[in-house]
Amino acid sequence: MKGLTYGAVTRDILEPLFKPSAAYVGLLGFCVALLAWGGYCWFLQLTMGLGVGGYAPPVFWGVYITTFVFWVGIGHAGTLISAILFLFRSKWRTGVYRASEAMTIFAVMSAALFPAIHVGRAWNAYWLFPYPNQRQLWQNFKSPLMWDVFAVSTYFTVSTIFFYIGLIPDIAAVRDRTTGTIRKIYDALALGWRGTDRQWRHYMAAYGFFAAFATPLVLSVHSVVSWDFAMAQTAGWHSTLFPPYFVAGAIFSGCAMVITLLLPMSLIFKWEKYINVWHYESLAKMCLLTGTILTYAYGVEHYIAWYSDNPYEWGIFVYRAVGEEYGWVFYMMVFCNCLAPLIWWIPSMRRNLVVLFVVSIIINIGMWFERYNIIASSLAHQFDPASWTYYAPSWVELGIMVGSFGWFGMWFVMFIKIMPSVAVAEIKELIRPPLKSDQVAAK
Amino acid sequence: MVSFALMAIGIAAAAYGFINDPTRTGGAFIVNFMYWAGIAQGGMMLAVALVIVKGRWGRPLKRVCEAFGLMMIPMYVLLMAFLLGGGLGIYEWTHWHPEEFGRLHKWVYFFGSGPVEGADHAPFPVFFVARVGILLAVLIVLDLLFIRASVRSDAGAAKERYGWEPTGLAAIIANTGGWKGEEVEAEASQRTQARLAPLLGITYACVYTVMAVDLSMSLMPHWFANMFPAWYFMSCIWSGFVYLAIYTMLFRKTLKVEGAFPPKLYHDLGKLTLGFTMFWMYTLFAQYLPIWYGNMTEETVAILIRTELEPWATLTRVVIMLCFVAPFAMLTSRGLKKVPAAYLMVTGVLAVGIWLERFLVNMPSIWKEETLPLGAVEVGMTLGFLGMFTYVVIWFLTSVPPLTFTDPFMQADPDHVHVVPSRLQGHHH
Repeated sequence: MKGLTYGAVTRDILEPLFKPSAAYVGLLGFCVALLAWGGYCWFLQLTMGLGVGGYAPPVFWGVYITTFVFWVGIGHAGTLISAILFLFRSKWRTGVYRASEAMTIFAVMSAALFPAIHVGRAWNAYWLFPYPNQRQLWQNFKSPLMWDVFAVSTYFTVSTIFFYIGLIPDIAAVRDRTTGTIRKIYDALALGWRGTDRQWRHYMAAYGFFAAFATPLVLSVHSVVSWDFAMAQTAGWHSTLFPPYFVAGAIFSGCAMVITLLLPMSLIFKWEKYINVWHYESLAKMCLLTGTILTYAYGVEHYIAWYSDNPYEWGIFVYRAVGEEYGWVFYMMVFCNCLAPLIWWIPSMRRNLVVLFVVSIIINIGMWFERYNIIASSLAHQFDPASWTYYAPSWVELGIMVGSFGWFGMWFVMFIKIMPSVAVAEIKELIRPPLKSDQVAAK
Repeated sequence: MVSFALMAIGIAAAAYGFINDPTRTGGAFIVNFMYWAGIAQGGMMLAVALVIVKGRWGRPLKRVCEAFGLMMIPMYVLLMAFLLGGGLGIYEWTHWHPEEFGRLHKWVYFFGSGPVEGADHAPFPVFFVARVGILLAVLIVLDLLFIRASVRSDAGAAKERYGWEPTGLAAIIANTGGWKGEEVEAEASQRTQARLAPLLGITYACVYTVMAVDLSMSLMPHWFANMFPAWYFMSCIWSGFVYLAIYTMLFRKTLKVEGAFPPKLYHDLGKLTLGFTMFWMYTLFAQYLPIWYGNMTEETVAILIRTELEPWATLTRVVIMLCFVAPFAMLTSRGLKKVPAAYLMVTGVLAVGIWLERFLVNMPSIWKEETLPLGAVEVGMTLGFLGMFTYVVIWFLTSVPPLTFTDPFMQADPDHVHVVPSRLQGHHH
């Protein structure tokens, strides 16, 4: 960061907020088009019923739950990078944490769509929340699905507050460069920020507190999501290893998604000074660590299933690996999550932007397939062979899934235009502050 | 001297125990093996982790970590002697009639020498002993290569600078033959360690997984949980941190390296220990909840014995108190971690708590009586292991340089920037 000044940092990072390019409008249009397609598919499902899905009794969890878990997983990396790495005083987080946090918020918003889509009668989805009502209905608090509602909503609330606190000094920086009504809006959002010593002191206390508060939530939310499966007696789901395995998988996919999003963004907006190979390499190393944990978890699942001598447990793992219906899903998962990232053990491959981008996308594909592998195969191949079936998603389900990517992308692309995607204030901490002695020397 | 006295107590206790009650004493051996081998390799993993992440804060501890790693050799010898010398009798499945074995157990336990129809009991489990023996040997070889790479550079530099060199077994470990000068050797040492470290990390996870399943989980052969191996090997690292603190606090004066172990180091180590304390509880709960919720007979039995039946139920509460509640409450204090006497107390609580946890995990699968099998034999054997551990660690630290002084990461980071406190300082460094 040598040669940078405070003024240059503010100018470089805030510039994308003021000049929408044709590429930007095109990208936003593409995301909205995907969302519109997803909306159309959902409209079909709402009018025609869940029969438009590929459900095959007893398989009633499919693409929607898979995609729900996928998005919650993506939502992990942001708070991990912003909160946990903040507590570890890790310097490389500075350039990437803002965009990662935004990704978290939008990913959880994408995940939140799916319980409503999954239940079919979306207009009744609010029944998931406990509230006094005249029908004397009360939620089944013993159900892990209810725990999920609380875990995800708590995570979303805390992540959003944490995200907003981090934004305040930068919103003020935007305010100071705008005029008229826009300025008034940013002024209101900046909550009266003036950058006084007192404000910084309180700001840091609040930021540290929320970092500590959000850290256990990073672990808890995906642990609770994993219990949606682990609490059941279904073979292949009833696993004590699931909580840390799901958390590692979530961080793995989340870090890969940060690479996927930030790499083109930093090239388009010319932020190479602030987000560079060092950041991508650190993210790739995180992926290597969590990918290794994931590979270990896949291995141990199979090892213990074999060791257990439990025919149902062993049966499902054999079915996943060599079964005609889902074998390809299993190998897709193994290739994308265990084999492809191995290329990052070679340092030059961790620094090659093309390799970084391609492998990060492969990982995200693999992580979607991992959830699909767990969910569909176990339900399609339960205890009673008479109930064995095959579930394949319909085009409507896949359309809704694609629409969720449009939904996520739309929010993210809009965010780039509204708020600074790199933390201005924290970047300034990494460069030499302007000193009076410098000005004197310059004269 | 004290180490030898403790070892003598241990040998006497083991001899008395194996003559009078081999099953109970065999259980005490497995408890101690899982405990001390965990500390030895777990401590070594901090050195490995520091190399992987290029960590500076814990470098003064690195040589002590390597001393812990060296302890794996006597642990290995003792385990092999136990398994080959008749200790396998504590495993219920060695007494099963061949027909009681499931389809897969034949392969798991008796690969190439399966149960014979009409035989009274199963033959010697060659595959079981061989896989534990071979895998542990591979891990120890990697440990030694790592330790050698690290020690060689310091021992050679000590000779070059001060004319001091290790003797005897320490000279063999350091192996300074063909010395090429401090700068070249230090660089080569870093390179070798950096290559070995990820391999050691992965090998550790795999070998300790097999070890946890074979030596500990198979004591209750119908019970299985795929969280168990990771729970064990992560808690080994945790126990390693605990003993690293204890040994350095107790012996830093003797080793004349007080300056290298300031309160800040224990503050950092304490934070890490707190993190692992929480992780232990998290993974314990992650095992408990699905088993309790699933309520499947083959799974709940292991939990019920330990939480509902005495004498184990009370011990479970004690373990939760000593391994989580008390250390969590104490380690959240910043000041406490910086006061040696106070931090020594917390690590002492954890050391006892983790030993009791290993006892609780293993012993109920072996001991079927209503009394708690915790007497002179168990305490004596534990003291014996403690004596041996202390002897190996202190011998190593006095035979080679106790600090990795040629390691460039012992120096402060030249690019260090105070990212956070600058705001508190009003933007002016």
